[in-house]
Amino acid sequence: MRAELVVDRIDQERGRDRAMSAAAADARVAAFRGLVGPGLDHAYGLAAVILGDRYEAEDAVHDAAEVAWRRWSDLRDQSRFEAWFGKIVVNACRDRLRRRRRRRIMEIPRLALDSEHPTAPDETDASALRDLLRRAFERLSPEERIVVVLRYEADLTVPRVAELVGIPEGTAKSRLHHALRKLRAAIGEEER
Amino acid sequence: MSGTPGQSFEGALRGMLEARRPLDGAPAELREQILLIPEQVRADGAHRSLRPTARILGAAAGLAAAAAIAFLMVGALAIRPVAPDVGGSPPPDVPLATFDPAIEGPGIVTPPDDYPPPSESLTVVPWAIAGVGGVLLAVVALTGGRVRRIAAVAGVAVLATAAHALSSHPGFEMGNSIGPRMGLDVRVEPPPAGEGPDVWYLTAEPGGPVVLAFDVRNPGPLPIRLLGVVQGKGPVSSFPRWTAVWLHEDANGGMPGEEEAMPFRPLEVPPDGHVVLYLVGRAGSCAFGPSFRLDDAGTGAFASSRHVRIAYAVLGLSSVGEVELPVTLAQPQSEECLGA
Repeated sequence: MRAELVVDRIDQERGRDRAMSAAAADARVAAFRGLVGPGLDHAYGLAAVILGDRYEAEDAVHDAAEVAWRRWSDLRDQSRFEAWFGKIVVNACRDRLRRRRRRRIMEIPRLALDSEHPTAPDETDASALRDLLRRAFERLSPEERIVVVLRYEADLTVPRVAELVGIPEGTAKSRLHHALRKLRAAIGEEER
Repeated sequence: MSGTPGQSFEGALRGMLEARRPLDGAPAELREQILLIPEQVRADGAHRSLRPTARILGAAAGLAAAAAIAFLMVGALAIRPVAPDVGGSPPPDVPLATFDPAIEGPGIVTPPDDYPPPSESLTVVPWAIAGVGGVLLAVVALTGGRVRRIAAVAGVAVLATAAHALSSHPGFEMGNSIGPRMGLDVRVEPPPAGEGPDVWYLTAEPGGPVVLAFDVRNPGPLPIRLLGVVQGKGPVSSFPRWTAVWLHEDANGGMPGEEEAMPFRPLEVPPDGHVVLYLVGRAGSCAFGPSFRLDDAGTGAFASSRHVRIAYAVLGLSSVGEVELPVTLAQPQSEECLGA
């Protein structure tokens, strides 16, 4: 009789542990969905600007969300989710740009040719200027492209850009400087 | 372009970037897929915190395994370590505790051939391990950041230093004392070949016993295991032909009589430690014998030697070193015998 009581007690404790564990798992899933959902538009937009390809941006954001879920225990403070997830999205984009660079290595001569003989911009045609800039932007290294987007599209300050990319502020400044010089050179502004 | 060049450039850049941003938000399909991730992908949870430790342990285990494999492989490929007592074993019915120059075998190490010398694994193995370790560390350096590169360079430096220290270990050197015990005559004025160290003449009968006692010292920082005295398979007429080694390991710098000597056994000599060796040999078949007189030296022939080759091991890696005696051992030869 006493043994049966002890077994019942153990079963109850096991059941309670299982229930607590399931509740914790549910809470984690709810937190993930609650935080990722609202930030998805912003993350997708950022990825699309960096990558210049909607489908690739979808893949990058999906990859980033998967990484975020796997590393969910790393997120100590949920109020820091936006910056934390932004960093993962930026990393996912950078990885894709690097892979793309390797895949498209045969295209380099054509791009180099374009840069040697840039189409003379029509001073009055803003879209032509943007087109030149777009081509030059596509030729930037993944790291340069990311700092330009974070600074001029996401409108982040240089310290925030450095924090998000995970590099020292000086490196971010220098990277931005080199990227802008390349872009200016592409539109022939330096010569002017 | 209107406005300042800087403003127009920045404006154009912002415009270009803005044009890349999709007007609508994230596609609904993407949103659905992402919200399903928790059901499709298992979160790593708390186990993730153990990953760095697991990685370090894994890397350490990999390096240790590679080093062990290298050690075993190189050890197997290197010339086999010399083994003591190859020259024969004493008869089982002889009481070993009593010194007897007739007993042959203990302490004599015979290499397979007189030349090249026996195992030099003390040189080969440390450098091989350093080489393998260096390659592994180079891989680690190439796959890691600055800290890992610095650690790898430091590791290579430590490996190279350790390999150099081991491979250049000095082995044994001559100690403070030497003395003839049997079959040697120390009348030495002047040495027959002019200036040089004292000459001890062998006056034993052909094939008769010769005993020389001297102490050797471990000058290095590591303990050395004394494996024996190397004796090649030279011709019977040659000298010295060492046949046994006896020892005294607690002499405190003195030179006890051979009656206190123990039969040889491999033993560990600590840094700066001494051990007295009683080296037993046989006079060659053409030895002049006890009738030799120094006055006759000008008319005879001599076989001489100043070196004793000692086999030893440091950290289990064997090598052979030469101890230079402070005297020359010379065997007057019978010209009739040599000409026969």
